[in-house]
Amino acid sequence: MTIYNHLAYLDNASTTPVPQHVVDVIDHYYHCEKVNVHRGMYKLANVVTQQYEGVRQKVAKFINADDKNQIVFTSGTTDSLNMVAFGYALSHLQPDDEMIVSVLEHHSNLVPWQQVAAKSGGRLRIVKVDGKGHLDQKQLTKMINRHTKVVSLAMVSNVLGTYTDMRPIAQKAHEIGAVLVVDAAQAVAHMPIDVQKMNVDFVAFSGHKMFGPTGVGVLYGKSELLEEMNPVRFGGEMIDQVTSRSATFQPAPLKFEAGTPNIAGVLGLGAAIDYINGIGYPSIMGTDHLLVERLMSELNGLKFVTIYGSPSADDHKAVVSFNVEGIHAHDIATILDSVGVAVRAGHHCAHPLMDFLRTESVVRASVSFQNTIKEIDQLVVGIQKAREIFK
Amino acid sequence: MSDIRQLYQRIIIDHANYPHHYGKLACPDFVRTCRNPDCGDTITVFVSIDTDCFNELNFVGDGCAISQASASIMTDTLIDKTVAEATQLIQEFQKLLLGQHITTGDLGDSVVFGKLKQFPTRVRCGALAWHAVSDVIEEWGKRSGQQINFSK
Repeated sequence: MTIYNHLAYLDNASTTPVPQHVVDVIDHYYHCEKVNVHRGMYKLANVVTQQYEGVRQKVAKFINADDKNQIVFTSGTTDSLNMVAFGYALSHLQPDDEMIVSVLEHHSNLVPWQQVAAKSGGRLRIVKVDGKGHLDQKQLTKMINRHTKVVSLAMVSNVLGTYTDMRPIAQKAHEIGAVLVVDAAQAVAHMPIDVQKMNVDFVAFSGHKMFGPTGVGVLYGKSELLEEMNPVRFGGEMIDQVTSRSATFQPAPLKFEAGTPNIAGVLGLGAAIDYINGIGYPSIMGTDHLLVERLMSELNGLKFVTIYGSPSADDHKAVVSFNVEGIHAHDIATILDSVGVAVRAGHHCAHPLMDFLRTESVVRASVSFQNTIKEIDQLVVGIQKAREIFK
Repeated sequence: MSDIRQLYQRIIIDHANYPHHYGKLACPDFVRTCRNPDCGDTITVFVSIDTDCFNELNFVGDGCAISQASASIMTDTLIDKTVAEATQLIQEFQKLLLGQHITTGDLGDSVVFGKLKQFPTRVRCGALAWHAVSDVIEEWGKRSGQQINFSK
């Protein structure tokens, strides 16, 4: 695992460390097999292509997609969501059509839809969350109507840690012919994703938040939707036939993977999936919960700390955001750094949620199963130190 | 690891908790808001310049102790200075943040931010209010037909 010089790394929602196996796979590719995929008549090109396509199969199995061609490799969640926004939604939206996101979305699941709304003349509607940070299901039910074409929601909030069950929402969206897009970036390292069970239409996530490398991600789409979806990038690898005036494209997923892909990243993603499978989600979720429970009970014991979202540890999927009375989040983060604890402080790419919470910024501690109770306790020591300094 | 109290010195905490010249001015000649998009810190400065002297300088803002204390101490440093003096002090403060040698002793308590160079992620917090005033001076220059540009 990546070593951070004894830093208690509690910024896993930002990006997770990588295990040695992932580094080894990437290293092996660059040292011994650095050839391109989907071309080249030599054997090694075929070997690497098989490995690359093998990861596609592995991802499909990992999220229970029934066909590996439903898996598009992207550069990350942001890229995946932009593909759906500009490749699918833009061509399906008429003026007066509507899209729905929630107030707790990361900017990556908000700004692309704003752009699509502006370009199409459609309308972007924002569903609220309740006091505990759960999606307001009643408001959402009311909001979904015959004009709705896209509903795009985070499975787990990157600020509040709340989880949204997508199954009932998928059903409501499908009743009126809308698609449900799921931003699973914050979920994937902490809970299994089953696209068939959720019956959602698109799912986006990143490799680097699930113990994999940066610069690689996944877009899952139902086969018929990927077929309808337009590529947003054009060039080599994604074409079928090209004349000097026109081109036809490969079927999905290759039509979405223009240019030489992030081969090392994809292979590293495959290794990260092996790593997660090796530990197993039941074990991951158990450790996550123990850590969050300790963190919540410690913070709840400090009357000068405000925890955002639910007071219950069960509702925080590896993420707890808070503020300390009278001390700005950045000052807390800097002082925590001085006692060897890494957390994030700021708006967490979620300005609308900050407005909703009536704050400018929050401190966010986010765990992975590799963290320890001792590290959580170190964070509490740091908060006490901050109080001392600001006395 | 640098001692965190090098950064959060008493004077910074005091200015953060009890800022000087805090609040809007009724009729400022210049108003300028600067925002740090990374963290959301905001400083708005309100400036009255009489002939070429900083008569009044107030601020309002939201953000961390460093950004707010820096603004507060800056107001103490710059009030009653001429535009030329303020311009020089801004340049000195920029040098201070970069860890370069500074020549004047007129930065007053603002020299406390010399420690910021040990905390590179917080340098922008300390610089925010000073950026706002440098923008005001550039604007003052435009209005009075002089070209003043700060390297930013």
